[in-house]
This record gives sequence, C-alpha cells and structure tokens, in this order.
Amino acid sequence: MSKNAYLYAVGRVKALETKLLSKSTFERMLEAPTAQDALKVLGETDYGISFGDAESVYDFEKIIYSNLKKTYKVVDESTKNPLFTRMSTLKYDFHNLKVLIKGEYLGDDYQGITMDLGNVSIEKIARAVRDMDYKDLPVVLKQAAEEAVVDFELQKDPQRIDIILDKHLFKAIYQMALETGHAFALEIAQTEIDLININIFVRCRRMGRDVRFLETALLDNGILEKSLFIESYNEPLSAFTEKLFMGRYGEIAAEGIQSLEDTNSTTILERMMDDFLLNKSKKGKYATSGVEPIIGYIKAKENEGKIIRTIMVGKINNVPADKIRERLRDVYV
Amino acid sequence: MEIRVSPTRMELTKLKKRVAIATRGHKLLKDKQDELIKKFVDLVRRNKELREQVEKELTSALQDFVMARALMPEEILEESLMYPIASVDLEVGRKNIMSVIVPTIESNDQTEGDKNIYSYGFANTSGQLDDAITTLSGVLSKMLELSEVEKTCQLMAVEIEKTRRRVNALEHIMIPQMTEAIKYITMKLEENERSNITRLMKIKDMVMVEGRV
Repeated sequence: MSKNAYLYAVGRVKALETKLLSKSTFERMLEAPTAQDALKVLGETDYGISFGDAESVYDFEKIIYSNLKKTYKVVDESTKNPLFTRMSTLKYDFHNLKVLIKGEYLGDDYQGITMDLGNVSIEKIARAVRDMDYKDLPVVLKQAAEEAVVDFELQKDPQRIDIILDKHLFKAIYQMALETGHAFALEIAQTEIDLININIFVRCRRMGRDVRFLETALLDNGILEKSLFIESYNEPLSAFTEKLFMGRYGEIAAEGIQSLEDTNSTTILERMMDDFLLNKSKKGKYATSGVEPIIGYIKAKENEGKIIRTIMVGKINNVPADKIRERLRDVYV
Repeated sequence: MEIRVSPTRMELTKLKKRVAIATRGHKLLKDKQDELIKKFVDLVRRNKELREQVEKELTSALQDFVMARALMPEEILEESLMYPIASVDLEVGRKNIMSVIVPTIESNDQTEGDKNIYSYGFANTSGQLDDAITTLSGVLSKMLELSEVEKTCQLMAVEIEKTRRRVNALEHIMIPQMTEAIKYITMKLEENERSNITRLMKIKDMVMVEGRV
C-alpha cells in the first residue's frame, strides 16, 4: 500500500497528538493531595469533555473508556479502514465473551463486568452463549467460543477458557496485522505477543506449573520461538536471560528479569514491558506518513488510560506517590 | 449472712458432711481453674501469634490487590476472579478441653491434585495478582486455625470466669458460713448440755435436801 494512503488520517492524528497528556500533567495528578484533586487536574485536560455526568472519583474508568471510544471513532472515521482499531478493540469482545461464557457456567448474571468498547454488541454475544449457537458472531469469536466451551465441558477448568480465548485473540490480532499489509503493524503485534510470552514464562515458573502447561499457555506467532521458552523452562532463570540478552529484548532481560530475581516482584518487569511496546510505537511520533502515527496514537491513548488508572487507584487507596511512580508507564509525547 | 439452722445433732452431722464435700469440691475446682488458666495462657499466646501473622499476610495480600487493580481495569480483574478454581471442604467438629466444648475446624483442600489456584489467563492480567492470590491461599489455613483458637479462647475465658466465681463462692461464702453454723450448733448444744447439767445438779441438790427431811 502506498505510503500516502492515510494522509488525512495522519494529519488528524498529528493534530490530536498535541493533546496527549504530558509527563507534567501526570506529575501534577500524582502530587495532588486527594483523589478528587487528581481528578480535577484530569478535568482540565482533553479528558474534561469526557467527564459527562461523572461526579465521584470512582467514575474514572468511565472517563477513560469514553475517551478511548472517541479515539477509536476518530481513527475509524479518518482511516476508513476498521482494521486499525479492530486490532485494539477485539480484546474487549473477547473479554465480554470470557465473562459471558464463565457466567453461563456459573449460572448467574455477570453483565455488570462486561465492557462496552468492543464491536460486537453484548446482547448478541450473550444470546449466542446462552443458546450455544455462535453462528451470528464474527468468525474469530465463533471459533474461539466453540473451542473454549468444548474444552470446558471436558476439563472444567476456567483458567483454560481464558487461555484458549487469549490465544485466539492474539492469533486474530496477528492475522489482522498481516492483513493491513504494513510491516509496522505486524511488528507491534508480534512484539506484544513476545512480551506476553515472556510474562507467561516468568509467571508460570513462579506458579510452579509444569512445562506442558507452559506449552498450552504460550501464544503463537511471536518473533521469539516457542521452543526457546520451552527449552529454558527447566533451566535457571539466568540461562533464559542470557538467551534473550543479545536479542531485541536484551534490555528487558537485563533489567526486568534481574529485578524479578532481586525483589521477587514482577512490578518492574511489567512496567518495562509496557514501556518497551510504547517505545516501539513511538516510531509513529516521528513519522510523518504511513501507518506508524495512527498505530502509535492508538497505543499512546491506551497507555494514557493505563497511567490514569494507576494514578487514580493509587490516589483513592492513599498509596504513597513514590510507590505509584514506580509503577507508572512512560508517556508517548 | 448466716444460715438459719435448728441447733440439733442431726443438722450438725448434715452440715459437717456438707463442709467436707464443699472443701473437696473447692479443691477440685481450684485445680480445674489452675489447669484451665494454664491451657488458656498457651492458647492466648498462640492466638496472638496467629493473629499477627494473619494480619500481616492479609495486609500484604490486599496491598498486592490494590496494586494489581491499579494495573488492570476493574472489569478484567473481576473477570479473572469470577470463576474460582480452588475449593475447600470444611468440617466442623467438637473437642473437649477440661469439660469446655470447643469447636475444631478441619479443612480439606479439594485442589490437592494439581495445585492450581489461579483461575485466569495471563495476557491481560498482572503478576501482582498472582502474588495476591498466592498469599491469600496460603493464609486461608491460618485463618481457619485462628478462628478455631480464638473461639476456643473465648469459650475458655467464660468457663474460667464461671469456675472462678464458684471457687470464690465456696471459699469465701459457703464454707465460712457452714463452719459458722457448725460452731453455732456446737455452742448451742454445749450450752444445752451445760444447762442440763446445771439443772441436774440443782435437782440433785433439791432431792438430797428433801431426802434428809
């Protein structure tokens, strides 16, 4: 596809990029004495219009969602290509599917924890799950739901529902990235898969699961081979770090996994992973054409939501500012 | 307050028997009280230890939860935990400590087999959630023990209180009162005896005077 395919969209996104929250805004939120004050700082920014009828500090999720929704809409409108946002919003459909399948087996109504950010209406998924007839759902959801339900009937293990749906989700994201025909989209999708795989590897070890479980949990289509994880599973963590050290994830291996060994906490590793992905997306900040700015902007917006959430939850629970700061992701701008 | 008794020999024997029984009962209750207190002190110590541990671990688990919540949207956190994977069977029984009926709680972990306690996938969840779940699952057995020990302590405390009241009642009221009554009867009886003797002596004197005449 030509580099000039999305000139209008790039222009629009570039204009919106200037409204992304900066480090100093987050710093002000962090330094605010109460959650209410932190929210007020947020109200002065671009998020102000998303406040709507949000009154209490607990409504910050609503604000984040309504802002994200707007972002997706803008990108959709300007690119005229649903694939870009679909790569991001598909996860909400999968989340709803998880909730509804589990809810169906628990025999209770869990619609309260569905997320209204996906493309498929919640009622449609709920109906399909209730009737066990998924033909009305998009094909990726249909395949995933069928596999998950059959597996659950056999294994009765809710964790496997999540794992199977996650695998389908990232397979679909990878497929969509391929479909866009842009190397950058593919790179971001694959990087995300790799990072999740590293996380799965580390957490499975901490949970003391066997290598067979790791094999089922690992996502496909990453840049790093699945065999790399499987072979290193029963070796010491340092062996794994060494293998990653020379590759593109060297930084994460050196600092993130090291910190895990030192502090026995995944905090830093997870922050570094998110930062790594954001850094890759930052390519979009410097590009003036192509798809990079568009994808970068979506990632930046999602990252922004994460930071706001971390600060607000921290503020509401009176977590010391330093402890929140330790967990804050980098910013795009 | 004293016991009103008729000063008869029969009452005296009865009272003497009662004092003997009361003294024996007092000794037994006193022994029971000592033993109860000994056990109670041990239990209270264990209770304190457990409570401190449980509170520490719960605090750390809840902190992990808050941090996990800070990194994950509410809906995803709830979805992760909505379908619990581990289940525990509880069996509540009774145990007799020094005639105090206390509860016992037996827990049978149903997930003994494969040891998996994490009910969610990895892609959207944070490692902090794993930490919180791990701590919480470890703290459960301690919480159960704590509830057992704490209830036992409460029941023992009530029993100690009751026993102490009985011991005190026996020691300071019942036994003194009865001894008092015994003393009273003996004195009354002796008094009667003496007046009897005096009467007899008087009669003897009178008889002797009349006899001479």
